[in-house]
Amino acid sequence: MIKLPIISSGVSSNLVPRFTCLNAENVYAVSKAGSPADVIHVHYAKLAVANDTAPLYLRASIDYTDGGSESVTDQDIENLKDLIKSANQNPSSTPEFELIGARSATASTITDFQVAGIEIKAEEPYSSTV
Amino acid sequence: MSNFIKVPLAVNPARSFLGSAISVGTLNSGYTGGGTKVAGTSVASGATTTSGNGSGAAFGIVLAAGTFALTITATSNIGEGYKVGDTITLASKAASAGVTSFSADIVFEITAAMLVAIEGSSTNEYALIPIDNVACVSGVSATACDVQVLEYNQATSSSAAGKVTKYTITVDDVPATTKAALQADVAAAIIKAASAENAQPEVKFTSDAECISVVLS
Repeated sequence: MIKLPIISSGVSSNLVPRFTCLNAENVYAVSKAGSPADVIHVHYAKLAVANDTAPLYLRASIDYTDGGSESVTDQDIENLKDLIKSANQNPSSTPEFELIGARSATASTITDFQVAGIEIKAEEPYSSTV
Repeated sequence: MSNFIKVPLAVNPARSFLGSAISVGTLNSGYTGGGTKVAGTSVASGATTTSGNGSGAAFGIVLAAGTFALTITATSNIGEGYKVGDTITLASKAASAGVTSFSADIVFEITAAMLVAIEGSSTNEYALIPIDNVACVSGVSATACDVQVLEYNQATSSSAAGKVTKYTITVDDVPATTKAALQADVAAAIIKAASAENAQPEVKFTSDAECISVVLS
């Protein structure tokens, strides 16, 4: 499981960072989407039961749409892939994923690099060549 | 072995009345008072008083001919903060041709059937959500969040429908929490469960928000 910082607007009395979570198992691809790029897609292929032959194809859309600028970079995608690999090597770990831009963000721009929404949907198998 | 989170279900949270017609009772059963009663069409209750902390509920009041069965309908003001066991006092209504009237106040006790439905009870204090297949926690509103699962929704099994199975956790709007806080509270329990096999942590809601239902769909 991976932790993702979320936008906590409306919680002015509590400065503790808030997180949602994302499953790191059964991931076969990670991609970015949107124009400007501010959405990360995490693609899953999962067998419903052990002896199934056709997996379920699902996609988590992590939406960083808060500001008007591009939030997600190619390096962010690589970093998330690495984190997913790391999380699978240590099943009880719950590492935090942060966009690169968050490191240099100010108090007024940090929400551009926090999750505004996250949702899982079924999809057709993903291919980076499509 | 599966791991779970425990979602505490409020047993008797303060909440609103139903928006549909509510059967309170008949003469000498279900309510007291009323003095001289005349059956008729609906009369507006105006502001009501309660023995508890609820407020805002107002009803259309109907007494039935013959039995003086009392029906109330909270058509627009369902109020907030009412609990089972509180009493409601309907102020007397002056006689008016064809309209329900009663010369003395009517008092009745709130029952569970009169309020917004909840899932919790003294024998059902927790909902369990298995976390092994949890994909993420998605905020919906200040009173609901979804725990989405890596499974197709069986009712819409086509991938084209795009829908996945989810647990929807609904909390009452009083005491208030926020969309982000609710999402984070549930995610925190899942993260804790994922990092400690068989821990079965309990969701701790910000502001002591009260869970009224956990629905799998």
